[in-house]
Order: sequence, then C-alpha cells, then structure tokens
Amino acid sequence: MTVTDTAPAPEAGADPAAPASAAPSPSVGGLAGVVGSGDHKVVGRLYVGFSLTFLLVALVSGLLVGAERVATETTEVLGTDTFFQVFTLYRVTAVFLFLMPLLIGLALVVVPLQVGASTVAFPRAAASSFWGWLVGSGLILGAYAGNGGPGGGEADLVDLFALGFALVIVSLLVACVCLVTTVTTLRAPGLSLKQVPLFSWSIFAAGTVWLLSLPALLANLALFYVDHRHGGRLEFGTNVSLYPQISWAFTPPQLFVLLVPCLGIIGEIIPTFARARPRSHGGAQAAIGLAAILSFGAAVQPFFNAEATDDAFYVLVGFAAVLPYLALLGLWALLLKPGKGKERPQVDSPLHFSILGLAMVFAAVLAGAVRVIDVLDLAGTSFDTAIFNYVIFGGAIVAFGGIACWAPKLWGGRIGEPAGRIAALLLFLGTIVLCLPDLWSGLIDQPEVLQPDTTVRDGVEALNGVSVAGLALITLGVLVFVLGLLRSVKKGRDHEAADPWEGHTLEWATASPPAFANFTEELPAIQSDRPLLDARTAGEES
Amino acid sequence: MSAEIATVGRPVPSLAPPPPPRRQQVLLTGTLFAAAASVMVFVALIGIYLAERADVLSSGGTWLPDGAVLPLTPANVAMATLLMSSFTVQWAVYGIDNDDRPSAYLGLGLTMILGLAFLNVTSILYQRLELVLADSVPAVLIYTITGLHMAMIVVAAGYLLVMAFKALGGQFSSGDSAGLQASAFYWHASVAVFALIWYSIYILK
Repeated sequence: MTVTDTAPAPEAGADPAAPASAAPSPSVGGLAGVVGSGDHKVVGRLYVGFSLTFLLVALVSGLLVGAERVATETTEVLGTDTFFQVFTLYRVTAVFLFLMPLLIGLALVVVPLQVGASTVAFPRAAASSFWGWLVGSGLILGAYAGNGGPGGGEADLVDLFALGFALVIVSLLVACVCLVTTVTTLRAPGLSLKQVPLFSWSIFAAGTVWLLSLPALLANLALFYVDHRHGGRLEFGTNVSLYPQISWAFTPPQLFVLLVPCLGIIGEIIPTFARARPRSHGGAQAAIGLAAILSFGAAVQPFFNAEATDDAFYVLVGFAAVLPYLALLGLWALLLKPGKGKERPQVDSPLHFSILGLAMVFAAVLAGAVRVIDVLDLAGTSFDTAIFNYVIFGGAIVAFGGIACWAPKLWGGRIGEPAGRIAALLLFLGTIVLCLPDLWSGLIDQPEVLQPDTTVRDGVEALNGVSVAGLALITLGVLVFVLGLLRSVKKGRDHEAADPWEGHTLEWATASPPAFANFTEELPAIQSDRPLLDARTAGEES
Repeated sequence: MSAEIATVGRPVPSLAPPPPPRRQQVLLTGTLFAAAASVMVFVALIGIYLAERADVLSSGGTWLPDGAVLPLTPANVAMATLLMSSFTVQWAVYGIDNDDRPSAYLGLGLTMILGLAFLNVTSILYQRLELVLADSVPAVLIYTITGLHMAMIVVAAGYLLVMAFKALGGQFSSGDSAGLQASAFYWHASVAVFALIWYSIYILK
C-alpha cells in the first residue's frame, strides 16, 4: 500500500521548512488513503478519534470501580480480583489510551502548522506510531477481556498485557521523537526556539521528559516479562508485583507531565480569546519548561525504594512543582483582567474550557504538594485517586478546549457553542464532585485499592457515592462534547474561515482545513512569537 | 486529503529577507532523541540492578547465587571489540566527510564484522555464565539487561547497514553525511551502554 506523506522529502541541502506548494497531493482516497497516509493531519485525527473512543472504556471501568466502593465491606459488584483488574484497567486506559494519545494527536495536527513546517518530521514513523499504538491498545484490552492484566488469572494473557503495554509505550515514544524533532529542526525561517508558540514548546518540553522517563516503564515491563514468562517468578514476575512496579507512572510527579501540554493549550487560547498580547513569552516558556522538568518521575519508584518518597529532595520538588503553575496563573489572569483600552475577551467555548480546566489543573498540583507532606501519610489512599482524576479530567477539559479551538484545522468545522459550553460546565462540575470526596476520604485513610478486609470510617461510603455521581456527570459531559464534535464533522468541511478566532500564530495563516502541504505560499522570515498579531497590528496602524 | 481544497493562505509580515537554507539535520536530531530514550532503558535497568544488589549486600547476603560465575575475560573481549568498532565507525564517517569512499566502505565493513564478533563473544559468555534464569533475581536482571543490549546492537547494526547500502549507492558526501553520522551516533550510544553494563555487572560483580 502506498504511504502518502504530507510533502516529499526535501532534497539534500535544501531547507526542510520550506513550503511544498508544488507538492503533488496523494491520489489514494477512501479507507486506503487513511490507512496508508503519512499526512500528519490524518494521523493526528486518527489519534484523536481513537483516544476519545478509549475514553469511553475508561469511563465505564471508572464507574464500575466507583460503584464497588459505595459498599466497602464486600466487593459484590466485581469480586476482589476483578476489582483490582478493573482498577488497573481504568488507570492504564485513562493515561496511555486516552489522555496522552489525545494530546499527541492534537500536537501531530497543530505543531507542524504552528512552526510553519510542511510536514511532521519522519511522517512514516508518525503513522507507524499510531498503528502500533492502536494494535498495542487492542492487545491490552483483549488481555483484560480474557482475565489478563495486572492481577489477572491467565498467565499467558498477563504476558500479552505486558507486550501490548510495551508496544503502546514504544509507539507513543516514536510519536514523541517525531514531534520533538519537528520543533527542533523544521521551524519556519527565522522562527527561533525562543519564539516557538507555547503549545509547540510545551510538546517539546513534555515530549523530552517522556522520552527520558517512559523508557524506565519499558524496563519495568521487560523485567516483569522475563521473570514471569521465562523465570521463576521470584520478585519482578509475580502477578501481584506488576502494578506496584509500574504504579509510579500513575502518581505524581510523573503524572504531572500530562499537564504540561495542557499548559501550552491554555497559553494559546487565553491570549487569543482575551485579544491581548502576553507580557512575557519567554517567562511562560521558562515556567512550562520548569513544570516539565519537575515532573520527571522515573527516579521515584517505591517498589524498589520504599523510602524514596520520604527523601527531602522529593518533598522539595513536590512543593516547587506548584511555582511554575502559580506564575502562569498570574500571567494569564493579567491578560483576562479588564482594563482601560483593552478589548473585551471573546467568550467562546475554548475559553470556557481553558479557564475551567486551568482551575482543575491547579487543584491537581496543589493536591500533589499536600501529598508530599510526610506526616499526613496520604500515599496509597484515595487522595491519590483524587489527584489522578484531577489530572485526567482537568487535562481532558483543557484538551477538549484545544480540540474546540483548533477544530477548523482538524476537520474544517467548529463545535457548536451550546454543546461546547454545556460540556465544559458538566466536565468541570463533574470533576469537582468526583475529586473532592476522594480528597476528604483520603485524609481519613480510605485506601486506594479495596481489599476483602478493608474497613473505613463512617461516612466514607457516602462520599464514595458522591464520587460516582461526579463521574456520571463527567460521562454526560463527554457524551455532549462527542455528539457536538460528530455533528460538526458530519456537517462537512470547507465552511470555516482560515482564521475564525483572529489567532496569533502561524497555523491560522493557512486554510481550514489546511492544504495538502500546509502552506501554499512561501513563508517569509518570522521575527516574532506572534506573527499574525503583528501583521494585524501593523495593518491597523497603517 | 483532497487536492481541490481551497487554499486561502494569509500573508504574514515580511520584516527581513529569508535566511539561507539550513542544513538537513532532521535525521541526526531524531536519532539523538531516539538514542537518548534507548539509553534511558538501560539506565533504569542498571539503576534497578545496583539498588537490588546494594539491598542484598547491606543485609549481609551475597549477591550472586552459589556456584554462579561471571567470567571477566569474555566480557573484557566484548568491551574491547565494541570500543574498536566505535573507532571504525567513526573512521567511516571521517572517510565520507573527506570524500574518501574506500576508507568509508572499509570502516563500515569492519564495524559490521566487529558487531558480529561482539554477538559471538556474548554467546560464549552466556555458555560460561553458570547462572540459571529461573533460580535467582540477579539472573533475571543480568539476562534482561544483556539480552536487551544485544537487541540494541542488532538495531544499531541494521541502521548502519541501511546507511552503508545508501553509501554504496552513491549517497553521502563531504557536505552531506548526516545519515551516516546519525547511524554512527546510535552505534556509539550502544557502545556506551555496554561500557555501563561492563562496569556495573562484570567488574562490580
């Protein structure tokens, strides 16, 4: 099958960022055109579509776990073993089958456009990363369905889970290499790394941290697989040890890497919709970079070093992690603050998603800072569950805002305002109702994972019931958003203006949806972090 | 994608003449990131190995099971072989950079032979390694680490082979050797990983 790239590879010595206006468009259409496509926009759309599909799996498993916790004395709904399997299914699906690929998919569409490139770096590798991720995701879900996964009873399927999970991680890392290389080498002439738009910068920062940290997860899976499949199941390969070995990827600080691209999305949406020029692009870049560095969590693996979380450096990093978020919060609040001579903000659904999502993201890092206080002894309680859900659904709210904002570039349409606003509100309220009870029950020692002999204090079961209601609200919000999205996609393309929001960065300089090789005109030297805003200002002045 | 999609490109400000075209660095940069990720797998594994070893030793136990032998001679030969291959692969890059193609072909050929020699030495080492995988934690760690490293060497050799064929096909010159440099960089990374393994496993025992 022919693989069609966004643009042909440039000749040796030629400028890879140069537009390929004369690039031939692919002649393969239909399903073959999608399956064989190396066009970054097609691959990104596939990532977004399938990660939203897997979100439904995560929500169902989360609702099952929540329902089981309403009565903690028995595990009547699922049974003890199945409860643990569904619990891990929820974690794995939410992070590696939903939020991370959703952010990567959005980045695959937007980042090359933002940096003025005609293609993503290594387009065939990017396409392979999607198909590898999809196959790996299928293996993971298939393994769970057949009683595999951490805590599963079928040894072969537990091995299959490890292989599928490793394939998912390798595939996502390949996508990270493509994105990070795009930002590093395929920028438009004149666009320096310091001027790269915040979303592209955040993907560069998060991608680098993922490239340096997720290989440790591969190492954990390799040790498990060798010991479980070929060894004596002595330490690494016992079924009960699998999740504890990989649990560091689902707790802070590593979990917070998922928030870094969200910061980039918010950093694009707020200035655009506030119709204002941010004061310090470099400061925002530094804060996002610091947030990424402080999220490196591969060195904190409690399975191998139980005292790692008592270390003074770990505690210090836990507190310091709040600082970049605080700085960005201040920076963006200034943009939204009404003032003399300032234009009124454009209050559309992407701005709703961004502001409400930012509140949840900030709640997540604040809770993360409280978690490192040793005397509270919160690790392993439902306080961790609350932080996890804040990150996943706070991140989802922001990512949905990103989809709503870049919808014209994704498929050439726009999500309806009512659907967008209702979804944002439902997701926001749902996340609060889901997480606050878990924070409280964590403070009074409810364990994260129910065991047959689990006893909890009075009132905790009622709190758990409220949590389930929160997840139900979130599910409703997701359905409203997805229906709005499907309606917009069904309406068809070619109706949207190139720049419906009066955007600031290069992706708005091309058609919606973008042409085959992204830009049809040769880009001049870019000398600013907001070239379109400059053009608009210069036009108004003249 | 449809070729008929209207393209209404919007002008962006031209405040200065475009700079001269940049050199093709995409493959080299991508390889650098991929190599960093590959190295981190081993950094994590060696970290776990050393942490487990320190735990056992601090509790007064012995790390390797009774009767287990970690022969140093084949490990040293493997290390020396890979170090030599680092020189030969760099010689190949130097050859291309100076348009000295015979030297480049010789360097690439020798690197391939040394890579095969390394795999051969490792198989000898496995035969002499009296360590049963199913019997101990150190065995699981050692076989996982060395096995994955052999996989890395095979990937690096495959990458180098592709670039060698490209060189034989007339590609690469003094002004454009990024592809060969990239594959050589990945090879160096796999040698550096073995140096870490050699010290942590075979020297420290």
